[in-house]
Amino acid sequence: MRVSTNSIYRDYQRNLNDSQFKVNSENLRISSGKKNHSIAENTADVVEVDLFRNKISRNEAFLNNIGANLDKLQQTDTTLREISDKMQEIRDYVVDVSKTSTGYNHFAIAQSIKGALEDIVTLANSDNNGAYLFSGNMTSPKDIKNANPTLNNLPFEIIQGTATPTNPSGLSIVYKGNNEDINVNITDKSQERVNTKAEEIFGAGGTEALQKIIDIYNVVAFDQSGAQRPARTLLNAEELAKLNTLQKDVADKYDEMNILAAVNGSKINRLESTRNFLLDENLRLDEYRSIKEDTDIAESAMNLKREENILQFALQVGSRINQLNLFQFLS
Amino acid sequence: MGFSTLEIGKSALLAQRYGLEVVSNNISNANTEGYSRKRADLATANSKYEAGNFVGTGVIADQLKSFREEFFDKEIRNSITRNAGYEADQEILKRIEGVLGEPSEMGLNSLISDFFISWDELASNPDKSAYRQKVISSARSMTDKFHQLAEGFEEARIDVLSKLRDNVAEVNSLAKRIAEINSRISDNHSSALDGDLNMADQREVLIEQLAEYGKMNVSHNEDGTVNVYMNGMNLVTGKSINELKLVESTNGTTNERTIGLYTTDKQGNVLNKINPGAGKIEAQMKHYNETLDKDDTSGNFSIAKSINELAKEIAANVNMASVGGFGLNDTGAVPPGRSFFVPYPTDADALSIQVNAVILNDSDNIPLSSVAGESGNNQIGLQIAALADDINFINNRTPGEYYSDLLSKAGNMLNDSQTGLKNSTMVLDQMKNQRDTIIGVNLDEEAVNLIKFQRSFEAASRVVNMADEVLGTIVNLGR
Repeated sequence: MRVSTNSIYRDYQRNLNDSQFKVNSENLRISSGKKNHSIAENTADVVEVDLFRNKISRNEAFLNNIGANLDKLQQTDTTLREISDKMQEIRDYVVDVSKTSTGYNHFAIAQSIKGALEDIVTLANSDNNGAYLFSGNMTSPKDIKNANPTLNNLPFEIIQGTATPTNPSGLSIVYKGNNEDINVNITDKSQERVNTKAEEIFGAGGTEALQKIIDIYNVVAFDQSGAQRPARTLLNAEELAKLNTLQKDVADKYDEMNILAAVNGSKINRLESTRNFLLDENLRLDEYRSIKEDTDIAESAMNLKREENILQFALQVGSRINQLNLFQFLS
Repeated sequence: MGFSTLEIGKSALLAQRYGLEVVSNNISNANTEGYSRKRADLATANSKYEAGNFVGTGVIADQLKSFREEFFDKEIRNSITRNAGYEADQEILKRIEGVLGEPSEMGLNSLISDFFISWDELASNPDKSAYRQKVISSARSMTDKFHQLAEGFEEARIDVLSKLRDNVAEVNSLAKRIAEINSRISDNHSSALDGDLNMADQREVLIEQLAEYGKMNVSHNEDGTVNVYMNGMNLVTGKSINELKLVESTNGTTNERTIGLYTTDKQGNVLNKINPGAGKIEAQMKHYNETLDKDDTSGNFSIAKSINELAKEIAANVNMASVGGFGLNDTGAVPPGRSFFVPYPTDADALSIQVNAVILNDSDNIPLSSVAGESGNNQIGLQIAALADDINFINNRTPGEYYSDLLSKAGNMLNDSQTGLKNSTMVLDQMKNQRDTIIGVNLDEEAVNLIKFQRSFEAASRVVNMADEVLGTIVNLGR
């Protein structure tokens, strides 16, 4: 078969271009650390890497959500336990008062009960990074309406009103928040409620249990005429019965609060296990992404060496093509 | 005897010199594109009857033979057309890839994902202004990318149109030059064979250049001229041509601007619509009328339209949720109807989508809450964040899947064009090599021919010299 001079150069040039392209591709892979530099190189991998990367970013956002809300739930847990302790303290005071001994100054005990109530209200007004824990989704001071008779923008407030026969102290509790859920996404398929609502803690209207404590305070601090109970005077049978009923109500709320703390604890556990799951998933996804996206340096280095050898030989052949010509030998 | 020997020597000198000229011409055109090697065919001159025998009278240069092969020319033209089509495809799709900025960690998909993630984060931290700013910032990054894509595709489309115009002008120019060569060949057909062959070579080069722009068919006429057809439509008919013209039209209903290729009469009036069949012009028209056309109605893949649809759906879905929401400082029972994106309620597209200035100026206005005065209410945020996983968001896909789909289509189109170009280049080179086995110049072969004719010329010179000596002897016989 005849071989034209042009076809020798044409084939040589095409092969040289191919070889240089391959060397360049391997250089690019090694220097950038990325396997694909065009969506056409391995489209399926490029698209998959994109989806993996988005999934990883999304999981990282969920991990941040979980981190922030774990902090909130842990603070809720601590606060619930402190409120629970205060309620237990009140129960202890009630037990002391119920004893028939005359050695007690009931009014002084009543002041301790009132102090515990104030502590509970302070705890109920706790916030996490400026967001109230127990006011539903009215988490900001500006959500809380301060209007007569209230004096502040806190969700729970003890109001000093006028004394009445049924409420000789004139104290009452106002709850200014709401009882809405706050849900957050913890994975792309699941949400978790991250707030504990006022009515869950304190019963109807978010104040029932607190009102009972005020009732206890009224019984302990005031006699049936509404006057301050003198020191070392005993409660009569009717007052003791009322105190007993109130004590039981507070005890029920104390139990419910412990259950609530347990529920909150289980949420913490769930968030922690979800966090571990997301961390594991991200590790796995990142490994897949790396397999699809990152250069296998050992493989590329070998390919580069091979392509460089081919290019070197191709260049040597080029110089020989130029030399092998009859005109070289004609004098 | 002496005189005829001299004549024989003379004919040999002339024939060998002619052979040397043909070989020299082959050598000098060894690298000329489209040149077909020539061969001087020598033939024995008519014998004369002398002294009872037929005696030879020398040699004549019978004809100049060209090795041009119509079969290979035709196949090569087809390969060139395919090759040029893939090349144009690749050029435009590479441009699209550049506009998309993929593969990258900051492509549109990542930015859309970041936008929805920022809503997730805000829903988890509804009272923190930093997360409100993050929503605005991620929305701006996403809308900026949409603008960049829309502008990039439109610029690419304008460039394609400019190239199309240049290419059509080039087709007309080539057709004109072919018609001119036809004219010269027709005028010289009976007299100048050598001229015809070289001009035919030049004409074939021009037809091969023309083949880059569309599917070309060639028919040969008796007068040596050719007719050239673009996908069956007359482009060159002997000495005359039908010029091509690009005509842009706008659909009154959809506002879609498309371009068509037409033949024209001598006055430049549009005659018939013409489909190039393949090649550069068809590829460029396809990308102008479909791939890069944001208003495309062909039903084929259009990246500009797909990106527009994605922007439109994101704006519409986010706005649907956001108009029912309240900002941090809103009051009352009726939502202020604040859309997150504008324009609203008219449809947004990739070029027009913007974050509402009211929100841009004050992040407290982000409608996150479903009820006024509830800072911890994140209902709207959760609704918007959930859009990222909505499998019915667009074309039964999530936004991420939809973008992946269009990225995958663009990637596969680019891959097809690259593979097609690689294969067609290989086929074209093989076809050219095969044609060159017949018409190509081999310098070694020409070197041998050069020696052959040179030696024959030297021998012929010796014959003339010898005849001269013989004649001299005869002339001096009587002295």
